[in-house]
Amino acid sequence: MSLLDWIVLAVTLTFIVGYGIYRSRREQNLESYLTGGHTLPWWQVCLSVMATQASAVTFLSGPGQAYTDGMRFVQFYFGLPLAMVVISITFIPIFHRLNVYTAYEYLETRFDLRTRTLTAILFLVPRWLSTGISIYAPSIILSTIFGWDIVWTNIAMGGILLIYTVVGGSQAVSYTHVQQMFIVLGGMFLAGCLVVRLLPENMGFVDTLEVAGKMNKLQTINWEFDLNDRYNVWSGVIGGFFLQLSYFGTDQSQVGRYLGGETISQSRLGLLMNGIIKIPMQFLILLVGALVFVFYQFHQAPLVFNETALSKIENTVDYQVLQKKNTQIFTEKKQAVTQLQQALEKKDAAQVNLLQKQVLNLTKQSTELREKTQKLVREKGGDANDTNYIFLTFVVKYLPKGVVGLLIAIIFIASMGSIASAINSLTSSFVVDIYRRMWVTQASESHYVKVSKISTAVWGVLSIAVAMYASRVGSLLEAVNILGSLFYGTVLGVFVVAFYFKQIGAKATFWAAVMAEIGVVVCWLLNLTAFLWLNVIGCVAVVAMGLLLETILGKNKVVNG
Amino acid sequence: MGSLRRRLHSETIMEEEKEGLPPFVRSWRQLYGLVIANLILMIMLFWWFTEAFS
Repeated sequence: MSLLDWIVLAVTLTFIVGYGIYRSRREQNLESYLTGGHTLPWWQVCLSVMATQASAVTFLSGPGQAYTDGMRFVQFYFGLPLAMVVISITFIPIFHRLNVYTAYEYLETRFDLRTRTLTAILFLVPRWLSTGISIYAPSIILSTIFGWDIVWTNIAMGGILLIYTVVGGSQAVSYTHVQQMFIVLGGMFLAGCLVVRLLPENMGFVDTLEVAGKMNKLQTINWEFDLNDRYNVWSGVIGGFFLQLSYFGTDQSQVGRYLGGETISQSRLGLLMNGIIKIPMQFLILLVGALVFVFYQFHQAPLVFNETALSKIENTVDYQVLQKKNTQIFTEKKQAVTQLQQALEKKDAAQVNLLQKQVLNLTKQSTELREKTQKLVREKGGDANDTNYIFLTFVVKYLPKGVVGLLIAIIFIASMGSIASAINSLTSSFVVDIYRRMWVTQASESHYVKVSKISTAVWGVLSIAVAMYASRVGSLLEAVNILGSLFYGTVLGVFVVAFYFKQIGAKATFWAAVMAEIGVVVCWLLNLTAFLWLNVIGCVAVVAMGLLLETILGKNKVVNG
Repeated sequence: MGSLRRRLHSETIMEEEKEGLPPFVRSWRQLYGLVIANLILMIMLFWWFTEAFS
């Protein structure tokens, strides 16, 4: 990075962190530390929930996902607007009226302490693990740029975030989210524009889209219903609906955000606006990845984007052979893509058809070479999955001075937003649902604030520990969502029973949740279905088993009575 | 008297419901409909996008 990049990075980060701490400088009580108080207008709620969901993982993995797999990932978000509507109708009024700090407090009112504790634990475990993954994502940047060991970058990254989160609490998180989202979205838009500018002079935006489309990178919609296909309209609308409903409705990192809304209306509006904006935003992030893919048709892409992994194999004979072949294929492909673009411009359908086949065939060959290289990396004990490095490599290598610093800052502040929310929510749930409810029930406000600060630090350290193992999980974006899907369905099922099945009691719900969670884990271990459907299975299983158990328990009661 | 009280009560609920609504909709139900209509429009646009560029 140049001096200008360092200045941009330092100024942006100092502004965000300083502003957050400045706004939360007043004396804190437990409510303001954990929920930020009920002070936020709708637009701040909207930007806060968006910033919480869009971590550095979104901006690192998103474009990389489109580069390797096309834009079909956008279908994953189709259930989100529907979930926003259901949460606005059902969840928000209940949470606001009960004036709860965490979503799980409500479950004790409806069921019992046991069910509240179980759901709090089902939240704490995956949220802790996914926070670790979210710390790992920006650590990659430091690791790639400075060549540092990932262990130390994890500690450095987590440490900085920890100070910020402990000092600022929820207020700092909410205030900084607004600035973060503007900088992040502006930066991604700028990156997209610069990719197109870096393409050959005769290629405009539409020409780039046409080439990307012919290379199967813009296939956004797939109507085919297939349970084992990760992303299609049906898994997105149905599975995605359940996942987003559980995430926004029962995950404290999000519930804590909209509970900070000034009124029920402000919280509702914030979520509904998120339902309108989120899909186009995700589409644009993926589109940047598709544009980067076209860019690499004119500039030779490395066989492995992860430089640390590359260093393990670059001196081997096998790699030299693969690299030579790669250069040969790239030259042929570049020529074919140029001809394809010209044929597209002339609207010569027959020629386009012919060249498309040739380009796709060459792309297949180059994918095979990448797979062989990844195998080589694995054999040498390296991390073969480089999806998260693709966009980053492009930024560092090709974008102008100053912009690199800005984009690195974006990845940092995106992490800060989501990790701060996550650690804050882990603290909320731990302190309110476990510590204050079961361990120390009568203590002063200042005691609980102090415990909250210590808890924040402890959760931070535990998340850093998880970050140490995150490199083994492949695409970070998918890993976070798979992890969520393993637990969210069950938690959602408990809330669905609480809201809509008044006849099911506490005992039946508790055991139904335990059995459903075991069932979901078994389905995942046996690889029975694509991960989005686990949310549906978990939720439906809790409701069905709850009804069944309630019937059995009800009959027993009658017999015993 | 009872029906008047009921009417006043339902009007109060409606007032509360309208509070904080954006000016381009008259009820929360309309806003929910708008969010769902926007989703359908997005899916249709992406479908067109897929067809147009493949």
